[in-house]
Amino acid sequence: MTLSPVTSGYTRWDQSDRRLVSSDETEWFAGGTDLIPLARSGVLDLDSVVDIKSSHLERTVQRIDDRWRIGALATLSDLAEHEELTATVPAIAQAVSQSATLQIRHRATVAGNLLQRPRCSYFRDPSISCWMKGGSDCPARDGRNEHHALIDEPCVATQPSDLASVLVALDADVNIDGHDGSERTVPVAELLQRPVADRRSLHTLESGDVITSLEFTDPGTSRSTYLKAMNRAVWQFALVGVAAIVDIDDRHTVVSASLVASGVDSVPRRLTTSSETLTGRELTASSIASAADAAADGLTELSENGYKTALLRGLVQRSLEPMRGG
Amino acid sequence: MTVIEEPRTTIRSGTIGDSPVRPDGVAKVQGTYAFSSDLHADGCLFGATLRSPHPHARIVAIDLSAAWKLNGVEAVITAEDVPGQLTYGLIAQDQPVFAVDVVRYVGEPIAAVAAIDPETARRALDAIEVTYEVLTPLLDPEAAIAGGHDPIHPDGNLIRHQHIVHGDPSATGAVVVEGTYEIGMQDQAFLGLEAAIAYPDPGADGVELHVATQWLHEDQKQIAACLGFADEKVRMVLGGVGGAFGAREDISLQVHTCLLALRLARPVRMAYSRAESFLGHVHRHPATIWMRHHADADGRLVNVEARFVFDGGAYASTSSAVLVNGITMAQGPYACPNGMVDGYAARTNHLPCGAMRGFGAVQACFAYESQMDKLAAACGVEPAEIRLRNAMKTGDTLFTGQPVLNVAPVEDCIRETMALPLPDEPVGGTPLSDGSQDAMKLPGGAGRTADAGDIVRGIGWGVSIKNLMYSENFDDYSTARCRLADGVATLKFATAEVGQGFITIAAQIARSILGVDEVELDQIDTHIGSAGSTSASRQTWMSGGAVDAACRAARERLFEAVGTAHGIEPIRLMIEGTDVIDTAGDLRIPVVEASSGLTIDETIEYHHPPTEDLDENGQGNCHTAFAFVAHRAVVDVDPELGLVKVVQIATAQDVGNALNPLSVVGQIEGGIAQGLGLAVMEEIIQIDGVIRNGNFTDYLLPTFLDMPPVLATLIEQPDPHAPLGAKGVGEPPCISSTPAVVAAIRDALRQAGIDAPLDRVPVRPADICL
Repeated sequence: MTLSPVTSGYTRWDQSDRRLVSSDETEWFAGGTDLIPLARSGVLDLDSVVDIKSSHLERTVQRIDDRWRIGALATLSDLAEHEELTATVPAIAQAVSQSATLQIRHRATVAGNLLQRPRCSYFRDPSISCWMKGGSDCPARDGRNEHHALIDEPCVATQPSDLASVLVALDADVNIDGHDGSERTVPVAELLQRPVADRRSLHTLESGDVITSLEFTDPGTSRSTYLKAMNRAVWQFALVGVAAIVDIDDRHTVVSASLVASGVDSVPRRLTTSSETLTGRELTASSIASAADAAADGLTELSENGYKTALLRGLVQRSLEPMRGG
Repeated sequence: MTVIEEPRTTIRSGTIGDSPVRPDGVAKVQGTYAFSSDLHADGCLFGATLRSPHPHARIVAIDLSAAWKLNGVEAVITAEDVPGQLTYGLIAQDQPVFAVDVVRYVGEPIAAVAAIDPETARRALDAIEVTYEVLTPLLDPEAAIAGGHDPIHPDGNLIRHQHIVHGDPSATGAVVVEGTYEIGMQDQAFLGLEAAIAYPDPGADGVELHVATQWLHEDQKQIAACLGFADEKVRMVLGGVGGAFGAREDISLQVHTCLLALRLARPVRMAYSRAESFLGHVHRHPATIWMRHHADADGRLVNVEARFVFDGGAYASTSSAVLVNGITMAQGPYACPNGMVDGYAARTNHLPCGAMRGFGAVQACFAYESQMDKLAAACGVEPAEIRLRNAMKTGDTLFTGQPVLNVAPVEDCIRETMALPLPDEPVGGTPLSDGSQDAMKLPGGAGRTADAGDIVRGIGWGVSIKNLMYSENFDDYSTARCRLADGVATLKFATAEVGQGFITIAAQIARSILGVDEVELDQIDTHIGSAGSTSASRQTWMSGGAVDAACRAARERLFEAVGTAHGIEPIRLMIEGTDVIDTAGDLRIPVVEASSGLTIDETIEYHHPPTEDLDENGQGNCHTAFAFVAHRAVVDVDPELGLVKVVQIATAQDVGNALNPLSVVGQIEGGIAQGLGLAVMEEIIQIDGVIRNGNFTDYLLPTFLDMPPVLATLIEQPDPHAPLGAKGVGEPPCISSTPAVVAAIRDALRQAGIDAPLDRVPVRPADICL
């Protein structure tokens, strides 16, 4: 259906009426930058939406002691323009600044960014019943998969969020108000999971759950960066992206490294071997090369996306190289 | 920064050679211009189109009953409701208004509805039940040519085959280079989506349609035939057009809108979304081109062999003309005594393809310019030098046997392009004040993936020839009327202003010929004869020629009146500035005064000289005129990641006489943007006949940030065959800019030790970094 504010199923959220969102046919609505195009194109057949833009949910970005707390309704622009956050964790501002257009960034919320549907063209074709939409097959596996994940799974769509990779690299958590009234905190890395047969979604949120905020520990002196390969200067989903959070001591030794890739998996993919390769070693051309070489470990090339392996290795190397020597 | 000529200070403001403010410019910039999608009428209904989800299927049944039952639905129509001709088309009338029995591409219209609002119309489409028997689609143009597949259309699977033999096709040279090249399907990507509003006449025996189109009279003819009306019962008014580039030359929603309005005796409005637009108009033909070039040891062409296959999609549109353009340009802007070319336009169950800026010449140019680079390498000479050695000159003969009688300054185009400075910025751009690099100057842009050390810079060339106006014996003309009264000229024509700037130039012509300052433009509609299409780089020549001739005729009437009043032979009179003067006496009268109380009204139909059909060997003077251009691209390439940044395009274009230099430069910059898009990002992806990227998130268009500086030199050698000495300038910029960019990428990769063929456009990261 075409979604418009006059749709009979449009409701502003009253926190007491949580049951409204306990069905699969109802969606939370905040920025709407992904939801509305999906509804207009017929991919999502929405019975109703519950608008949380003006709800009690937070939009603030604040640091409390050594923890950063980002309200679920904070926009991507709020993050990009937050001077202290940008100075402390440049990778966040880099990731959101490289996402979408300025107009979308002004509108899109942080929580919504994490919950985007796949960018897969088969998924976004309302006439195709792909595996993610309940079908039996993933047409991308043997079809056009130039932009798909390097994985051998029932669905090979990528996780489209750039920010998600940075948050996973930061070991960030999301705070969730559960549909049953409970509150819980889970790592972003647990929120964003590969889809499985009985949960065909890029996330583990259940109907009626709502993200209220994100939190992560200030990375202190760690360096951070997010690089994103696009074949247009701006406004493109990542072919491949790499987030790197690296703590280097005075003797140029890597105390800890957290590398996470976008565009190669249906989750923000932790480059565990690459990260471990670096830890305890001096950041040198040699150690960086080792990390880059290990980046594609465990990934499976499909018919058209093998080039992403080269991009991934290249971006790992280029994310680390500027951190050498100081 | 763009280099253009110094301001022409001696030119009277607003006349030929000046670059006055466009009459539509301020409104467009301020957002007050009414595009056709802004059209509305009180009480109008909203139309919508049901389209096929299958590339090929038999329609077993259509059940409209549920749609009719919805509140607010006023009409539901199918092919059964078409009172006249069931099909339409620019060359062959092979495309159904609504599918009858069978659908041949994803997106083919099956039914249309009108309702009280767009949402109700959309729900009505959902309520229509169509039962299909899905058929195996024909998706391989080679299979269509081979003939083994059942016909998917009564006209067969081969839209046209044309052969060209010239000289001794068996001639061989000391150096032979060969390659097969592919060009992807490009979208015109105009920003103003298809939209129209139809007003039925009382009694529903006629209709007025306001629509964004390229050719009002051709639309009128096709619509009238489908409605079963005489042409004059369909009155066409040009709606505000937001770009065209060929995509508005074919019918899209015109007949549907009129049918609904006539059925309901109420105004009906239709407007496509971007997703529907991808289905609703024709696109640039995907093509596969094989070429073998023979040259002597110095690189002078001896023979060119070629085979072209254009995928025309489900319906003919202009495929046969696109094919002829492609194959007759096979030699490029180069002299060559021998050639043999085979060309096919095939029918498949892909989206129909037709006109797009460059019209067949784009596909040919990517192939022959890639070949010229191979030839240069094989002969050990520079790319520019191989082109200079073979550059066509006025009087040279095409493979069709047609002599090029126009000014043909190919060598000048190349040399003037060579003379333009290369970028003075280092690879990666001048560092910012804090010493860092500006990511936007590097491949990968905002993604910050590169620094200067990762980058290799390449330089590439492209030179092209483009035929102007229509070909193959088409009676190509344009009509214009000039009224002169009290110092005001009023111009009337049916020339579609699609953003190219004709309304600006028309007024400039009138000011120059008549010595008036004030020029009014009448509504652009069918209350005057045809202007032909705004395509084929033809309107400055054709409609410019018609306006010029009408103004000259009006001027003669003015001179006659002045002569009679003052007892002077009219032949002694001329216009100087804004005055009528006696060249043999002292008389000087302002035109305002001289035309006071007069009403002069002159209508002229301007025709270009006739052209010929090609014979079975592809021989014949099939084209009207030619224009040439050279492009030099400088591209920075990140070989490891496969990303590119076009750093600069230098160009020298054969424009004849630049009537409005700023508009010419605008065409050059815009055309280069489309050429760059085809080179590195733009392609409609179809799998099993279904578009996979029919939106502007996934179909990548170059942004402002992807556009390089353009250095442009206008080669102004007025063409004696052109009414104003001016050649069309719209198409050439997008033709050879594509191979120039690709050649620059190849050059950079060679320096990085990578031998990548890059024989397909658009070039993607995967083509470079593997």
